[in-house]
Amino acid sequence: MKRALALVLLLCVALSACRVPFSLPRAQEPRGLALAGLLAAERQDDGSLRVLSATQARGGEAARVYEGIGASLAEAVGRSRSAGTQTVSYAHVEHLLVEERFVSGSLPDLFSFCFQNGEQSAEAKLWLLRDAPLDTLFVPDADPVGRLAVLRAGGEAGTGLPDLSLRAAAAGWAEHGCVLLPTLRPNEAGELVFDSYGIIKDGALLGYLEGETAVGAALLAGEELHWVESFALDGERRVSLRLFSKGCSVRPLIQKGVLKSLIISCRLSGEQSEGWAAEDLAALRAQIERRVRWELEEASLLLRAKNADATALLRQAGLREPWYWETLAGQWEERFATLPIEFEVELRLDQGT
Amino acid sequence: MNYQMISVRQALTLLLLALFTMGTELLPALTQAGAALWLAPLLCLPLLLLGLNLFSRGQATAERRDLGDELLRVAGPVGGRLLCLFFLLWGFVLLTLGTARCAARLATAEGSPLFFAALVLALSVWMARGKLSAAARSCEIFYRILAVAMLGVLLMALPRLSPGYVLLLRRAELVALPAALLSLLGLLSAGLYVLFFAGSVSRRESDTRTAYRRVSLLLVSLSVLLFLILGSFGAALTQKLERPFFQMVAALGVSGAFQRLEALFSALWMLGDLAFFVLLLFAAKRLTATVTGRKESAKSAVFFAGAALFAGALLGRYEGLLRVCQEILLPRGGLLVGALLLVLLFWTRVGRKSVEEQ
Repeated sequence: MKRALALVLLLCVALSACRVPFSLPRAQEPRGLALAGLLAAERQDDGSLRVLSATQARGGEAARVYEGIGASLAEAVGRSRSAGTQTVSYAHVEHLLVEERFVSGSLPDLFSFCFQNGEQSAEAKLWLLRDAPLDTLFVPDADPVGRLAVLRAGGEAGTGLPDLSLRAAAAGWAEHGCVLLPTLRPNEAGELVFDSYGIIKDGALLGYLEGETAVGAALLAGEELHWVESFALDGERRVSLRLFSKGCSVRPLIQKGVLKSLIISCRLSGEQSEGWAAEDLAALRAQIERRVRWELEEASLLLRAKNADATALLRQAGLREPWYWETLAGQWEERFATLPIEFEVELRLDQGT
Repeated sequence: MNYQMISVRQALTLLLLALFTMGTELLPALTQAGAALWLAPLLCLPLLLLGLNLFSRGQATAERRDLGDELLRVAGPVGGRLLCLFFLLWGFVLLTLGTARCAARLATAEGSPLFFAALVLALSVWMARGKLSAAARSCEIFYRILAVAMLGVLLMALPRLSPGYVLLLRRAELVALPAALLSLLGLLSAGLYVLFFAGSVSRRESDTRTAYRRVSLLLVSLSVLLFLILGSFGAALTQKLERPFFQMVAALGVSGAFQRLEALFSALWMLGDLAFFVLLLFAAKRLTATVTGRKESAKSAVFFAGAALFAGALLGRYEGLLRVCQEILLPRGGLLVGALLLVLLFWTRVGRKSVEEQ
């Protein structure tokens, strides 16, 4: 009897949740929360940080935007939580967008904030915004979250250039100190489009890989993507091909314990998607190979000029020759910028149907 | 049938559950071996199997008693009690660190993290008041739940692995492996506390094979887990993360169906904490009885759980201290205590043999 009474009493104290020696955890009410899908950060002229977050537009409801300013990211995000008519939750952020001035210097802060806070998922995508202030995106009726979701879907399907998750970016930054950040820019209509890859090394933004060099960089990183390129045959006739990359292999040549050179071979298959069957396959093949080789070479030249192994060539070479990993890792830093690299393109052509 | 008795299989399941969940949280912090850390459990495997082989040889028919009683017999009433007191104190340290670990994992921004830790402790005290067989049986059920959860993690994490982060090992990392191996052994030594209620474990012929299988399962799954963590974050980032396992789980999910699994896993891991606490509380009950010379009573379990909750709450306030305790005190102290336990075990067996010969 006594025991039962004690149990009931204990239960009452626990349920009352008041004035017990420790406060009970409270569950969050999801209905009262605005779920932000995008968190964007920029550095202002006075050095403070400004974050803008947006929910996704659903049905007839427009996207809502919340703003916070603070000396640090945690402070700014904290302020933005209670900036609107609803409390903002960042537990379902799918995209992180950072502006140029923020990224040089503050990228490690972003990583530490996201991983220590633990609210954001490590699989959120990280994007860099080029040549535009954040305000241009957060205009009324715009839906930046929806737009980024389209870009992400393209990257995942291999039709666009690959995106980058927070986890992969932080791992790359911690391992090699450099990352290639997918960079977006608003076009004339104000929609975000893929522009280039930003080269980040030791926390600084060193430059961009644009256009074909961006494709070259994605190929160097061993990504599997497909894209369409057009070629002119006999001066007049145009042929379009869908090219599928099957990944790159990076083979290091090591002689007497010294890293001599790299051989990078890229496997591609092409499928004709426009223009009637080309008769002169050999000429077409030569053109494609020349162009892809050029893309690879340009990307690697630009990266090596900055001495930034942002496509993880070292690890790819290491996986090819794991027994020489010690040699490779030891000599890479000083040899990378001047290492002779030979590019090979293996192409399999299909004439389509 | 004596309901206080459990089988070797049940005892090992209890250990597997307790040590695996502890390992998932504490092992990634053993950073000295870098990317080679996942090899440490695999290297540990032959050592433990050899140890088990030596331990079980010629013992199949011998009557088994609690290690505490054996110590009293071999080391005399004073020496034996002092030794038991020492192990009791170390057990209390383990219990406190376990409580602090559980509280820190379940900490939320609002409310006290101690609430859940207190809940788990209360539950384990309740189990420790009852029969050992009932506690062991429930651990068998928990074990299945966690096994399914881990299988899910494995399937979802595999596609995200970067082999370059785990397969390429530098000489310095391989050289640091023995040190990581010792730390691992130190962490696993908490499992030896099962010896203090060895008298309640009944033996059969096929037990040795079961033991081999369970120990292999524990170490292989720890190795796989480290492989997944290091492969998805890289060794350099793993060092910076506070709870890499849960952060890895947080990133898993099937988009559109379910995401953000870390809360679920933090909660599931409470089952492992429960097994760990139950192991320590049953051992503490027996040890207290041996030290005081009285009959075993559930009051000692209540006392230890209460004290551990208090000490754990105190420890939780100093995060730096907790970290030092988990990364230095636990592996190194565990190694020493484990080694001492094994030496004493060997001594009791030699002592018994000489008695039998006379």
